[in-house]
Amino acid sequence: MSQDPSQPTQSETMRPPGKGRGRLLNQSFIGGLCLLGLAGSAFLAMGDLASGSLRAMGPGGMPRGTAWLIAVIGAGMVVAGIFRGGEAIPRISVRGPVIIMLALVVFAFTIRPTPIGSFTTPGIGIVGAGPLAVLIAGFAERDRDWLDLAILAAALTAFCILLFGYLLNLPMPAFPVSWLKYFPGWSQRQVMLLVSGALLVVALALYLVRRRRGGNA
Amino acid sequence: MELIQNLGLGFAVALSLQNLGLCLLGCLVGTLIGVLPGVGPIATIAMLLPITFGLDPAGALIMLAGIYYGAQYGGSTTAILVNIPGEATAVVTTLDGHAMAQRGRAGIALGIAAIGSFFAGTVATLIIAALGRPLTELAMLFRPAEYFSLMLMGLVLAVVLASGSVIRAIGMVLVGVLLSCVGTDIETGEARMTLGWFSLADGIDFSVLAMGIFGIAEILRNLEVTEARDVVRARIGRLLPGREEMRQSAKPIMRGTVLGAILGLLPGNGAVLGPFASYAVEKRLAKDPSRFGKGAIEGVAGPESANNAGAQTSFIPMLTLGIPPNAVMALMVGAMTIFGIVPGPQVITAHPQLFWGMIASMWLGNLMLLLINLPMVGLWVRLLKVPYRLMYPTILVFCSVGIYSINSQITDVLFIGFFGYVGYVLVKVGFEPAPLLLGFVLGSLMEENLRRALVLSRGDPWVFVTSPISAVLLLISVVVLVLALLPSVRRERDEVFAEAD
Repeated sequence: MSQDPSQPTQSETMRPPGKGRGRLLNQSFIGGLCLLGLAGSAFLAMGDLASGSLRAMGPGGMPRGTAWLIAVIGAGMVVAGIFRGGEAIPRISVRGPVIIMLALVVFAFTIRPTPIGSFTTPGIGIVGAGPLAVLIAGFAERDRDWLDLAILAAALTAFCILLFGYLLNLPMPAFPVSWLKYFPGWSQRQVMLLVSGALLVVALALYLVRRRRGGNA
Repeated sequence: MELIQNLGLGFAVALSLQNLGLCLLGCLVGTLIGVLPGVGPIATIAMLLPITFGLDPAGALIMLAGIYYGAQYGGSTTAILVNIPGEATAVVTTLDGHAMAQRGRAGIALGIAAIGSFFAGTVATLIIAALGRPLTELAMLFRPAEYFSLMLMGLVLAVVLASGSVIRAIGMVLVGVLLSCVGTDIETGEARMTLGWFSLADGIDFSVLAMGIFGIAEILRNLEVTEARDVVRARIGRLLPGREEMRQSAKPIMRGTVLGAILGLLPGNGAVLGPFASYAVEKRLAKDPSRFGKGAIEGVAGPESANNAGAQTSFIPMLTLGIPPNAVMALMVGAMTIFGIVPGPQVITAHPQLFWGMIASMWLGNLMLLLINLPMVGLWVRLLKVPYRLMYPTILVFCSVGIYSINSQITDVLFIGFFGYVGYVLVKVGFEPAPLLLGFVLGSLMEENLRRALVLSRGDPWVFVTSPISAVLLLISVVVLVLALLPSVRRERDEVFAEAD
C-alpha cells in the first residue's frame, strides 16, 4: 500500500516501526500499559493477603490470579504494540471531561454541608446543587443558550425533587435545612411541594419569555 | 397444563395495577430513549436503578425489561423515518425501511415493523415460558464445579460473539472480575484491596460502576461528536398494511422470528446477529433480490421480527441460568442481587411470581408498544428535535441525584465521575466497556463457586474435568475460544505481511 503524503493523520498509524516518536502512541501499546499498571496497583493494594492453597483458597487467591492474567495480556499487548504497531489513539478532548467532572464535584459538595479541612461547604440541597450542576455542565458545549439552560435547570430540579424526594421518599436534602424555620408548622414534604412548585413557576415564566422572543422550542 | 397454570400466575402478577403501570412506564421510557439518539438502554437502565429500589423486585424488573425491549422498538422508528438507527440492532432496518419512507410508504413500514415485532414477541414469550422449566431442571444438576464452568463458558461466548478484539475483551472481563474482588472477603472477612477506605469496605457499588462507565462516559464521548441530524419530515401516510402487503410479509415474519429466537438463546450476545441473518436470508430467498435496498417490505418485516424475538429470548440464559448474555442483562442481574435475589435456576422455584410475572409482562408490554407506537408516532418524531446540549445536563443531574439517593454518600457522586473517566479512556485505547460489566457481575459468583468446588473436592483441581457436565462446558469454551483466535491470528499475520510489502 502506498502512502499518500497529503494525509498526515493516516501516516501516524502506517509509519513503519523505528521512525518517528509517535509510533508507540498506539492503542495496543498504551492499552497494554494501562492493563500492566492496573495489575501492578492491584498487587500493591493486595499487600500480603493470603493466597491460600488449592484446598482452602485464601482471600488473595482470586484477585492475585486475575491480576497475573491481566498482566500477561497487558504485556502481550505492549509487545505487540512495539513490534507490530496498532491503531492510533483518537484525540482525547479536555474541555468536556473537565467541565463534567467540575459539575459533579460542585454538586457533591453543595448538596449537603461537607467539611474540607477547616472550611465547610454550604449545604444548599438539590434546589441549589441541581441548577448549579446544569449551568456548569452547559459550558461543556461551545455554544449554549442561557435561557434554555435556565428553563432546563428549574424544571429538572423540580422534577427531581418531586420524583426522588416526594414520590419515592428517598432520604435526600431537597432544600437547606434552615428553610424549615421560615415555615413554622409545615412538614418537610409540604415544603418540598412548595419549593418544586415555585421552581416550576420559574421554568414556566422563563419559557414564556422565550416564546415572546421567538425561536423554535 | 402446568405451563398454562404458570402463565396464569404470571398474568395475575403482571395485571396488577401497579405492575401494569410500571410496564407501561418502562415501555414509554424505552421508546423515548430508543428514539433519542445518544441515549442507549444500558445508560438509561443504569440511571434508573436507584428509582427501582423503592419498588418490589417483580415490579422493578418488569419496568427494566420494558425499557429494554421498548428501546428496540423505538430504535426502529427512527431507523425508518430519519435513517438513524436508534439502536445497533436497527441498522438493517434503515436499508429498506428508510427507502420505503422516501417513497411515501413510511406508515406501512412502521405498521409492518410493529406487527412483525408483536408476532415475534408473542412467539418468544411462549418459547421462554416453555423452555424455562426444563432448562431450570437441567441446571438443578449443577454443583459448584459445574457452575464455575458454566459461567466461564458464558463469558467466553460473550467475548467471542462481541465485536472487536477477543484478547482485549478477555482483558476487560478480567478487569471486571478483579474489580469485583474489592471489598470484604466473604469467607474470612478480611478487607481486600480497599486501600483502607471505609467506603470501599462493601466493595465497589454496582450502580456506581454501571452509571459511571455507561452513563457519564457516554456523555463524554457524545460531547465530541458534533450534531448533524437532518430531521426529515416525511409524510407518514397509511399505517395499516393491505392484504397484499401482509401476504408478502407473513413468511419473512415467521422466518425472522425463528432465526432471532434461536440466536437470542445463545449465552453470548447473539440477539444482535438476528436482524442481519434475517435480512441475508430474505434477500437470498427473494425472487428479485434487486428490490432490496429500494424499499422491499420483506427487508423490514423479517429483520424487525428477528430483532424483537432475539431481544426477548436473550432473557432465557439470564432467567434460568443466571448468566447475563449482554450488558443490559448484566444490569438486570445486578438489580436482582441488589434486591437480594441470587440469580440462577433457583429463581423459578423460589420466586415464581417474579419469574412468571416478568414473562407475562413481556407479552403485555409488546401489546402496549403496539398501541403506544402506531397512533403516537408523530409525537415520537417530534422528540427527535431535542438537541443534545439539553439532554446531557439532564442525564448528568439525574445520575447525580439518583446515585446520591442510594446511600447518601457524596463519594458515590465523585466515583461516578471517576468511572466515567475510566470508561472514556478505555474506549479511547480500544477497549469495550461491556465485557467489564459482565466480568464484574459474574466475578464474585465465580469466585464463590470456585472456592466451594475446591473445598468439596478437597483441593483436587481435576474436579472440573472429571465431572462430565463441567468437562463438556469447558471443552466448548476452549474450542470456541481457539476457533475465534485462529482466524484473527491468521488475519493479523496477513496484515503484518501486507505491511512488509
